[in-house]
Amino acid sequence: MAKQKTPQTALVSVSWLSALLGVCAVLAIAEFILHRHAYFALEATPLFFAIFGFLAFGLIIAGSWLVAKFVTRPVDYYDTPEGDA
Amino acid sequence: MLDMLLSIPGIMLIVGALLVPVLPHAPRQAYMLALIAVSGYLTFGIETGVHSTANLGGLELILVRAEAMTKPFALVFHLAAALNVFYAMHDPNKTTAAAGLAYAGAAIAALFAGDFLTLFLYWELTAVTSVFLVLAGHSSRTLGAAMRYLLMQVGSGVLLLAGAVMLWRDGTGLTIQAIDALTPAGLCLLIAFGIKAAFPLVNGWLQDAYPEASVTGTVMLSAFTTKLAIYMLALCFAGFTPLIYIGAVMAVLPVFFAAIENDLRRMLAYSLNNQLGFMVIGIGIGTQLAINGTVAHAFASTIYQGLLFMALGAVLHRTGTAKASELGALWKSMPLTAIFCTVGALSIISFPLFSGFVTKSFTLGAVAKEGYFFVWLAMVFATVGAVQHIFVKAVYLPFFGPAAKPVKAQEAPLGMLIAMGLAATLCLGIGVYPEPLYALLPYGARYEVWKTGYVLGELQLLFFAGLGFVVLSMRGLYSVAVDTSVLNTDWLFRRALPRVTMAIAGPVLRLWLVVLGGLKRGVLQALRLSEQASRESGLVSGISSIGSAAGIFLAMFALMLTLRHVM
Repeated sequence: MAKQKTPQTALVSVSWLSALLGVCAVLAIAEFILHRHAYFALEATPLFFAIFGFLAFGLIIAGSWLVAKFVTRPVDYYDTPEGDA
Repeated sequence: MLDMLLSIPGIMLIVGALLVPVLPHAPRQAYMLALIAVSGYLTFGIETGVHSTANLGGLELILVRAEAMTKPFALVFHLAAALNVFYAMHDPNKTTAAAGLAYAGAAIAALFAGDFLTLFLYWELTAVTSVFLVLAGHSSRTLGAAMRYLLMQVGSGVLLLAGAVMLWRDGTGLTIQAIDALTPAGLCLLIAFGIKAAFPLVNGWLQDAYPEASVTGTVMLSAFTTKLAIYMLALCFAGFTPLIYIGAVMAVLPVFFAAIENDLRRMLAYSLNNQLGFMVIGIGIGTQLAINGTVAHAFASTIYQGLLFMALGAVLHRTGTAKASELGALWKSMPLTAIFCTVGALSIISFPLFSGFVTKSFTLGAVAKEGYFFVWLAMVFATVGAVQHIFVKAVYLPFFGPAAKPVKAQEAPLGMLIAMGLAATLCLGIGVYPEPLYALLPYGARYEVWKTGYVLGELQLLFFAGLGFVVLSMRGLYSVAVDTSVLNTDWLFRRALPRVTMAIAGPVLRLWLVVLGGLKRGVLQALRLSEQASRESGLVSGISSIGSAAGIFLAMFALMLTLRHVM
């Protein structure tokens, strides 16, 4: 994805951010109080879902950046004459 | 005759649609809702088993047959049809209304088809009726997209017919039942269903055509075709292991494309593809729990995916754009739409207490129980993908995020709000109290979703994915999508195939031209030679001396004698 020309305004306000951080902290602590049944060994690692969720989000953004390099074309790509099927 | 016809579920809607274009606006809405209500009521009473057969020149056709999983699909199709009527209440377009109703009817009739030939009829009817919904779009790309859509849909029907004919010929019969996929007939049927279920490589039509339809058309399209294909796959190919991996690819790959796509309705088409992946995985696993998961998920997703299409369609209707890069802070002007859209998003990311959580978890649990670790991981990953492209990109940023430039809008029309409100209520209702839906499922198998540990894991996944977004955006690494053409698998048919054809045809054509040129030159040369030889002074026509004439005559005579002797 190309960078925006205009400087990016903050996408998340401070109040949203603090609320989210609070919930995440509570969920992380709850992990050590509540029992979480796991089918797979890796799933049983402490904070598996938290870490996976966080990393997967980054991976999706990185992956989409990589995929975009191959699949994005100008908007009018299909409008240019090349014998559209 | 008419009695028997009307007793086939869905036919009432197809026949009834004929009257739609002649009715004035208000009575038309009431008429369509009444028709759907009556059809829904009659259909819901149909018990499992064969109810109506016909004989067509020795072919035994099963016109009405209900399977254990028919009821939930039929119910959700009726619900979707009714929601679509509410959603399109502001729309004066009669063609869309009639086509939408007939399309829903064809899809419902197809659910009850007991043999492949009957199915083929409705299969093609869904294609022919739904193409009018695509054609109702207004962009310059509409016509092309509609024709490509029709090509794929009818192509799928042709494969279905081919499979049916092969089944009939090898004596298996036309009855819709579990089919071995690894036979020519099975393969034809698998691909026929696979096209409509948007399998990898044949999914291009979905993202190509759906966003080109009108605001109301896209919502109608999103419900039926793909879920019908899922239903047929579940009937015929449950437990066919390759489907697990096909489903996993369907669940994961669209996540990246959805992240790039700027047009939010096209992005939703990728998201729909991703949801279908979960269902296909369930069919591939094929256990009772997995099939229950697929059916429950199809039911819930028809509603929440429809709700998301409705909400973003309302945005398009009111602001004139559905582009992520142009939207922001919409909750101020469209607060109700914002709330409904949030409910749809919470459902699709399977947030506890919303419908996705109590349905998708069945499939997830079934995959875990069967020990497919990487498939399970892919499904969890795809869920994070939905957080990214639905929750962040389609709900948070357009409705609650900063606006690139002020967007003027007003709240969606009343009909749209009613449709979205009902859909949102269903999402929440199923999420909080799923028992009525569970009671409709084909098997008794259940997955206990309300275990503290399981809920905790799900919440951690979702909130930490959100944290991922926050961290990335604070570091400036999360950029809002920009306007581009995102190449999808329809590129294979629109660009690659013509290129390959030209790559093969080009040299052949050049060779042909060379040969043709050579032949032409040869013929000209021969003509010239013969013309030269026939001139006054030429070899065969000129005046020659008597001696040489006698010589030529003698030579010819000698040749004739020799030939005579030899032969």
